[in-house]
Amino acid sequence: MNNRALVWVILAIVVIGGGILFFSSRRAAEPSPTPEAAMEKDDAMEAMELDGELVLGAIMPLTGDGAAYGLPIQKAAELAVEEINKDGGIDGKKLVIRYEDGKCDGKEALTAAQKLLTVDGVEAVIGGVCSGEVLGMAEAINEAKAVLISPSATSPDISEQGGEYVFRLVPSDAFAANVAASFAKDDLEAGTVAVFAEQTDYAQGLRNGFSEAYKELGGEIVLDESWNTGTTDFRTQALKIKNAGADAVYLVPQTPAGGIAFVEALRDQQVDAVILTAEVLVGRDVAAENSELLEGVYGFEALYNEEGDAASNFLMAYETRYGEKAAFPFFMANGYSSVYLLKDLVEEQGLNGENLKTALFALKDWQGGALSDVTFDDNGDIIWSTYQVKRIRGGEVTDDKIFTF
Amino acid sequence: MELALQLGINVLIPASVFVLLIVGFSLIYSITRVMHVAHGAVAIFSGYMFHFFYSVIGMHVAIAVTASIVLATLLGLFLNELVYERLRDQRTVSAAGILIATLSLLLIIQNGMLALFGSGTKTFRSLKGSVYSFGPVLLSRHELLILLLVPVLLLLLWLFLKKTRWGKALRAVADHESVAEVVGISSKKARRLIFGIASVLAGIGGILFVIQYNLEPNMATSVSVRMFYHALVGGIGSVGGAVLGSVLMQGVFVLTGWYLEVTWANMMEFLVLFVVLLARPNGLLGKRKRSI
Repeated sequence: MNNRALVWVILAIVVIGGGILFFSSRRAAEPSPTPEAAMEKDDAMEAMELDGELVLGAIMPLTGDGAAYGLPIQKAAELAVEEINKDGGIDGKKLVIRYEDGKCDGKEALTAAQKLLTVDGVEAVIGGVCSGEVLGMAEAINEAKAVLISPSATSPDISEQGGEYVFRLVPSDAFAANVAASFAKDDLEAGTVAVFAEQTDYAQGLRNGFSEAYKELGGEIVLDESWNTGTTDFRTQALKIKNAGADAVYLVPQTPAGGIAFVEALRDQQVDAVILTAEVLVGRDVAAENSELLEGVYGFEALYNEEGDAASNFLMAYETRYGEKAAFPFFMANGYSSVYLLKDLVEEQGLNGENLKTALFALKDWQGGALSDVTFDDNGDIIWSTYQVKRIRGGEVTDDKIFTF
Repeated sequence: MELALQLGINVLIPASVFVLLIVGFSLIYSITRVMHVAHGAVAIFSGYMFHFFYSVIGMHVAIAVTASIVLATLLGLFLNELVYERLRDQRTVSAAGILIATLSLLLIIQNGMLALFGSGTKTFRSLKGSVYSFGPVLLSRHELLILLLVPVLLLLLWLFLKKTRWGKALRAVADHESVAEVVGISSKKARRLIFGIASVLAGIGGILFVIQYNLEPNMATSVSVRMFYHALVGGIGSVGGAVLGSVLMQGVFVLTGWYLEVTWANMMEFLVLFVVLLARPNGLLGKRKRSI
């Protein structure tokens, strides 16, 4: 190796090493822990008092676009773990959650689930955050007779295809799609709607639900199309919507990236159709960062009373712990509550997937974490009756009409 | 007619942005024989630097643009010097070795950006400017800039290659490296020069791209992949091939989106790629011998 090459190599090592140091020191300075870091901290604090470990699994998107959901939900769950361990753990054992990256993708989630089920031998898994993740791993979960509790997977397909070991703390989007359709038809009096959804399980579930419901109400769907994740240019789609003369656009992205690009194209092409969307674009942080762009956009969410005692305690604890507001209050409250739910059930039933399943079905009006009234139906879906229309005004996500079934 | 005009503009905007990357990638290959797939990541790196200087630090836009282009150029030169030249020195390294190296570089840059700047989508809406209407066509100030700036840059590049001494030297190296060495042209210097020029273009293209289409780390891969197969269609090694490949593929994208659904666009693009490569394995304007 000649001298010049040596200089280059040393330079590269310095640059890369410096970058890693810079990055890791930044991460350490942030209050938010990586799970490992949290575990180490817990080790130091709790090793004295707690005897042994009780391991749960969790699968959520920790990298990629879906991390916009995955990371906040992970932080919420980790907050519950810290509180529980500070309070004596579960039956005197330290609670530990093993996180695996599901990348918002069925195949990745399945690999992650197989690792957790076979290598770590977990009996209960929290996740997946994306519907695609849940559908991808449902079969493996059922075969292993471990319970899965999802904080945020809303696809209607999960009710049927999930199997008896899959539960979720969010209601199926079959309802949200109905609410959106009836709001568009009756309240906005939109006669024609263009539907555009990302090519993912979650977004397609909403797309199908909305189109069916809207047609049943007598409305006309002028365009009903999908786009692939990663598409960046929506000028032609905006032009299409404009030419079709749609009164409203029902836009369902899987993650903020595609949704923001689509709305930008609509604004640039001066399409004056009202924009209706699902949960993603009414994320509190997304709305605040894109206040001007998203002004006037409607979204539809299960009504989660953020003012209730349990909810406001959680939201306050989260803000104190991490120094930021909860971006997706309902989903994050579910991530937090699922840990408490499993704690209650494990203390009662022991850590056994089959017993946990029976106990989850038998549950009636469970209260804990940041939730009240948790009861599951025969499909393992939470029973939920109220929905709320949200509208973005001045970067704030404001409340609009309430629907009750 | 109105429709043709509107769709034509929808083709030209993304095609213009991409052609800046494709032409650089293509010239690098014909002069150095390196498939520099990480070139797309250099462009996205430039976008992140621009985000850092403009949005995070709050520099004036002109300074932020200049600084980002300079850093992207340095990154391109650095990759050439540190990775490709060293692989070239070791004669045992095959073409596959270089491809593995460039894909690794792509992932290193992409994940570096993810680690430093997080996964969120960055937007530059204020820089798009107000919207002007030209008959039926609506163009933002930024889109107008893209449509005017890119042809000028391409013309300058073409004049440089055809008229200047350095340009002629580059073409000589592309034609026949050893003969060029014999008449006194340093092929090592030629490689540095083309990496520099291509990285400047990638730096500009990256900034134009992120203002138009926002910014997130995964774009490094998707932009690189698109750049790569658009270049293959047009024919690697010529400015004209880069333009043709870019316009044709964006045309397929827009027409599929208009007449079918945009979700079919990837399939149609690869179908066209497949047919083109069957009929002309070197791409539409590709020559059998490498030259510019």
